[in-house]
Amino acid sequence: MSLSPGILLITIFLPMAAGLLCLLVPDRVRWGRESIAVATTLAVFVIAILIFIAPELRFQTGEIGLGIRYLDLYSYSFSSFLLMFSSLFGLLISLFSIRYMQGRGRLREYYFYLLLTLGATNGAFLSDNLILFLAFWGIVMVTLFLLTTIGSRDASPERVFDAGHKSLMIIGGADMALLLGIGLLWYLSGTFTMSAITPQSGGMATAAFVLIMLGAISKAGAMPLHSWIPNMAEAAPTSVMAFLPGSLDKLLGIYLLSRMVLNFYEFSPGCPMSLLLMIIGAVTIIAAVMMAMVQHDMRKLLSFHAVSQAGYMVLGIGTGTPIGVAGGIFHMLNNSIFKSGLFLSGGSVEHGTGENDLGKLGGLAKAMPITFIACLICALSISGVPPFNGFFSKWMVYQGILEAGASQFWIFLIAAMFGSALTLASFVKLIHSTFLGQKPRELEGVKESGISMTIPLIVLAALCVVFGVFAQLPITQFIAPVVGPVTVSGVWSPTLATVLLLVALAIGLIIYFIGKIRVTREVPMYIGGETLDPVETSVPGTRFYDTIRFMGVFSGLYRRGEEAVFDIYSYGKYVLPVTRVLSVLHNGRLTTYVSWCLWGLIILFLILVGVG
Amino acid sequence: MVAVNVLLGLMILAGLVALEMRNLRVAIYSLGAGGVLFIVISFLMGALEVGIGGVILVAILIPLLIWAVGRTTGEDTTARMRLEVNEIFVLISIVAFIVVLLVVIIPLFPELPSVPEAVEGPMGLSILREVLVLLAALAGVWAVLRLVGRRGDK
Amino acid sequence: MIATYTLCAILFLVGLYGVVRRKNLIKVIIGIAIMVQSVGLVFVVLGYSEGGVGGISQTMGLVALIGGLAVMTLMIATSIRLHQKYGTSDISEIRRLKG
Repeated sequence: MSLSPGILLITIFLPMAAGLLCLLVPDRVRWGRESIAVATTLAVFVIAILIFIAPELRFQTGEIGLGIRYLDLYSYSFSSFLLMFSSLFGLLISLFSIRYMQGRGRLREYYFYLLLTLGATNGAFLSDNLILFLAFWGIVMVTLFLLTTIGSRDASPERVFDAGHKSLMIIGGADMALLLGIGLLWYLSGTFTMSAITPQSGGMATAAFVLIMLGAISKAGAMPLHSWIPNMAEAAPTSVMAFLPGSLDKLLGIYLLSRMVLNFYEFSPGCPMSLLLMIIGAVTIIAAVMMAMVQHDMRKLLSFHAVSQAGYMVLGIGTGTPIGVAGGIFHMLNNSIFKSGLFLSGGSVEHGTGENDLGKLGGLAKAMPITFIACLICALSISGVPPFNGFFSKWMVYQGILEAGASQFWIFLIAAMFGSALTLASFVKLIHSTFLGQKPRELEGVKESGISMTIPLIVLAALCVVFGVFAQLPITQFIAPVVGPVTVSGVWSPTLATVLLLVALAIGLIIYFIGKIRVTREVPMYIGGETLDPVETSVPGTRFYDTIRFMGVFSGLYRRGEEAVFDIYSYGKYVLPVTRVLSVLHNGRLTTYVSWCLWGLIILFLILVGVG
Repeated sequence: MVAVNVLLGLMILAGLVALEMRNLRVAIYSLGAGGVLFIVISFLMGALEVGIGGVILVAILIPLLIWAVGRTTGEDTTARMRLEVNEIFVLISIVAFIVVLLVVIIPLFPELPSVPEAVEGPMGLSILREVLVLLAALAGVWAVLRLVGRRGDK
Repeated sequence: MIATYTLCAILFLVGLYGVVRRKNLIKVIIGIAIMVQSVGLVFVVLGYSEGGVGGISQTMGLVALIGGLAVMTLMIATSIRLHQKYGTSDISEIRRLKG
């Protein structure tokens, strides 16, 4: 089957046009916007699958002169598989939003921004021109801000604005670096066409690499530029968290980083840039997971994991070995799946109970079985428990570290493995305090969310299982065409291992039930002659890791973490003396500003004349 | 070329009138006259696309300005600017700009290499682009003018 | 040819004069409209030869015009908001732009 290249346009402009249509649908049309969003994303998903199956496609408008084109779209193995998944997430999130967002204000804008984000993300994956890429990348940043301003149920408008502002400042600032980096790259290679850029080396290329990396990791949310994600988690609707920081921003950021490593820069294992990326990755993994362990708010806990998992991707790609890069990309894919699964199950719990505080939740496993199972599967995946997908990609990252050469890299390996263990620990806390333990009285009568919310959960959890049990499938289909054939050393056959694990579980269950045969007797509790309500003796999961929090070495670190010492955004205040000088120049008169512009023009003219 | 120069002179005159009139409606009509001259010049020189762009410009801008005057004030009652430190800086900048523009830049223009002939893409796409820009502008106008969902005022 | 360019430059300066020396918001917008027209004309004259005007030059002129139009519609909307908020169109009265 041959496709016309023009089909690439549909994946970008159909969602955008549908978004505009959503703006026009009047409020009294019931389910109008929702059905537009679901139908559009479904159509885009189907088209994205067709594009993925098809060989490489290229769509170009004619040159308008000087080598400039309006549109230059190119789909090859990497971009088309990302396109497929971004469309899938678009579909799942719009399904989920039907019930989750129902009855809130600004719905019209919500669906517009949602579809605009999807279109722009697809555009960024497909564009073969760096400037075009930057434009789509920028649209995603703006819609992130706009989606944040819609706000969660319980956040005050000031807080919502602060969170949106912070994300805009951090990502926007990093995008400035990205712009400079792209300029440098253009200077070195002489072209903006991404597929024509050959790997660069030398000092200036390294500067370009660092600048572009800043843009990429701010989007993906790795350590120095991560702090917008936790702030946003409390302020934005959970579906937005699942959509942007959970999946699309990760796909975008890691896509750019891996394009940089694979295509634009002479990147070899053990080079200084590789070491830099690995350090960023390792620090991110450990520091973010430590913060995640002590959180009380479900969304905030999840958001710190979103940061921590970005560390694995950066670490894997930073190794520079084929298997490490493959592992990083595979982990990006897996992370998007289980992280949006987790955010969505958080949203489902919030929808059912109206509560996000872990201390006030509990015992929901019976009331919300589907959410519980989906959340459990995703939590096991993110913690790297076999046979789920997270295990396999982390395994590849570990192996990449080992193959990267230098023997002192064992420290990164330890950081990655330790981070994985701590992730499991913090999810034990999440699962326990949400779904297990004692059910508070206020949560009696909570029911499972509707089918439109559970379907995305089921799909994502199923993907976690499928990509774990049949891990060869995504590796050969999605990753190998990008980084070349990947050989995993060691004896690990996912399917066989799964069977063994299932057998082991079955034996465990049998032993457990044999133990249960002994008759037990439940008696009411007494203290001082008074009957005791079981609720009053409950063990809330929120206190699980307070021992670590108050342990000598860590207590200082945690205190500083709460004072935002590690938050690059809070250093803005040290720039204020400089800006105060500048603010004197701002006298608020139009004429003065025009004069400054004129001086700028004069200088530009003189430079142009001097050069020409 | 002479006809073009004369028409340009008339445009300058219309612009000056537009800026000096105290009655804002008359000022806008004068700007509109300048716009018509602009269209005539473009068609005279064979620039069809730019001419159509000029038509769109006049057709949208003039009614919008009239509407804006209706909603704000019809009379330019503002005083002329006094000479302050700030204004002196502004004047120096303008004089420097005029000198650089007229002495350094303009003499270079006729020596510029001829512009390469463009290979236009599908015609529909470029129209789509302009329409998109205008739609974005209209969305911006809607966002600025809407009153619901605004904090702090009204 | 040089006379035409000079006249375009003068037209631009007239617009600039309006922006800098007029305090009424509508007058400022009129000044910008004049500047936009002069830029469009420069592109037309640049691409002019006996057979007509070159394609890229026309495209650039059109982009300048439409972009300018978009900016001016936004300015008009903003000026109406400012008038609602401050009750005046005098830019020297509207000083809350200072941060």
